[in-house]
Amino acid sequence: MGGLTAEIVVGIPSYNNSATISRVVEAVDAGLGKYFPNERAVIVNSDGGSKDSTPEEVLHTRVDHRAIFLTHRLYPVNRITTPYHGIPGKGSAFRTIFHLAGTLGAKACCVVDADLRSITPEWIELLIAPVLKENYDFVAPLYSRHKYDGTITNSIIYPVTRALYGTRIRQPIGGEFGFSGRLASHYLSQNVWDSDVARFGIDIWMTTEAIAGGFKVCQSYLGAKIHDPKDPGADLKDMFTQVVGSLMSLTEKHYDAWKGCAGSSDVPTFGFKYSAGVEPVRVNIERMINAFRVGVKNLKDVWAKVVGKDAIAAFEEISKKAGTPEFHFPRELWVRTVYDYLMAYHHKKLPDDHLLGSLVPLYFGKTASFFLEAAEYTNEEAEAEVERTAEEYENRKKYLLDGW
Amino acid sequence: MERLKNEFIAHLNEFMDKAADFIPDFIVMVVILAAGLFVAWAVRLAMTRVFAAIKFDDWADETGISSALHNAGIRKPPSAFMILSVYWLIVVMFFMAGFASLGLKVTDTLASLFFMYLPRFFSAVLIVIFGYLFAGFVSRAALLTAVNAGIEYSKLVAAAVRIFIIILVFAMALEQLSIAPRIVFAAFSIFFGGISLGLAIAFGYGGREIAKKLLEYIVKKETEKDDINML
Repeated sequence: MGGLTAEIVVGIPSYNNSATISRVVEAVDAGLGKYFPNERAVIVNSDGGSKDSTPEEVLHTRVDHRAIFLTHRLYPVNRITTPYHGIPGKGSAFRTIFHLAGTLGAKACCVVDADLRSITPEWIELLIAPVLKENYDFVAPLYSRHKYDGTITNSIIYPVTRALYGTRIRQPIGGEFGFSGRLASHYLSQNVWDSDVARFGIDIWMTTEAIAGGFKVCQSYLGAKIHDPKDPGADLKDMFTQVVGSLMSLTEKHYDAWKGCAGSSDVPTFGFKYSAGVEPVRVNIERMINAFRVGVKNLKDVWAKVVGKDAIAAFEEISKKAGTPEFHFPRELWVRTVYDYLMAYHHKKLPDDHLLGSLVPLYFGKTASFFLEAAEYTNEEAEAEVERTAEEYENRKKYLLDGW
Repeated sequence: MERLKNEFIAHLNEFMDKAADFIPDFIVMVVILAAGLFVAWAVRLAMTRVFAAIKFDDWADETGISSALHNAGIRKPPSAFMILSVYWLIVVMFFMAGFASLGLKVTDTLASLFFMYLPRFFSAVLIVIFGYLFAGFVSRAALLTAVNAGIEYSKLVAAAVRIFIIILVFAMALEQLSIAPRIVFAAFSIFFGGISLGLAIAFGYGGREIAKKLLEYIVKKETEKDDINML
């Protein structure tokens, strides 16, 4: 890097994001100028071989500092755009950012998605300041989301992470994170870059490593998260398999860290919580119920290797009510099923891919049931339901420990 | 009379010489057979203990080997079946080796044919075992892919995949054993040609409505994507 050093590194992983990345770079540049005018900072774009002009947009985006009342910075914000190597995916892009953070000697880093539309300069302050000024090692994001958004987070990732490690990080796979240079070095030293961590598993891996590694964690309220419509080519099964598979492998790895944990507690939260408007979303509940029903019709033999006969009988009963208002997937049954799957992963009852693939129809059943129940809920009432699910996971943790 | 007596003595001497040559070979054969029975017994004992320790039958239940053996009319537990197979294979091998020690032309030919055939036999057994496991794995992968694609009759897809692989495996095993390889190849080609043609006709003519529904479903699925971000 020719002797270049930086106290702050902001990473932006990208792939064909020329439509949105300029806006993200502007917000990051403005955030660094406004809140960290005296620190040397570098914006690193880790690109997955974009076919459009994403890297050029990063380098050529200009920021009108006067428009946001910025005084001149002591040091200019340098920008680096670099292709990453390894398995194509977000995790590999992050690895390059961790590496550059180490090379530049960064004290505080953050990563933000390239497809964000709701990012503001304040996000940079909220992700970096807890590390730089309060000595935290890891800052998770906290967003206002639509009650239907983040269903994998709400039904599996958040409550399982909370129940296992006793730490209430509401968005463990939020996508935007702040972290210290020390934690970046820890991440880089792990030999995980040929696994799902190199893809969508990176978020849960970063959060869990920070918690289980005893690093100082907190969360920052960023407001609403609005991003480009999701990639239509992104396959849900792949996404689900990579995220939940990473959660399972981390549960296996950190048994010693979670076996003794009971209950849970809040983590310090920064930022001013306000009522943010969220965009309405369109959901196809009928398709989800159908996916569950097809699963019940065909997967009983596979499920028999993972869950008990009573659970399979319960799935059949639920399936019979498909298409009626009585369709309901009970919370207790769902929690027990997820724990059965964690145990099946531990005892290697099925190949990982088959195990995770067989959970997808059940996840659709549970999600459809939640959507039907939450149709008349306010966002706060829907959030209360997520909290009740999380408590159920905590209360049933002994079931997991007994079967481990 | 004297001539008859001499002929008799000469033949008797010849017989005694041959018997003198044969008896040590026979004793060697008996020793080899006894050793074979002992080795087979020892291997059976060792296998019984190892299979019990690694819970082989539980594994066979999980992988579907037990049900396959059951369907093939074998009522014994998989471990007992394997142990018995290995036991008798060892006995037969020693038996053939023992016969070869007699030095007779017929037994020599038989023994050499037997031992030359053994590698083919083992290859065929391995092809069947691994082929069966592979069929189970691939058919389950097909089942899950079909279910997650929303295909109503996913089990049928998985069963078809399984049958296809098992037939392929048995054809490969028979070819390895050199059992009528041309007939096996011809039967295999006719069988799969027939299946492909049957499916094409069924799907194209008999299954026009199903094909239509399937295509409509795929198109509908593409246009009715959710807005939600599940992560």
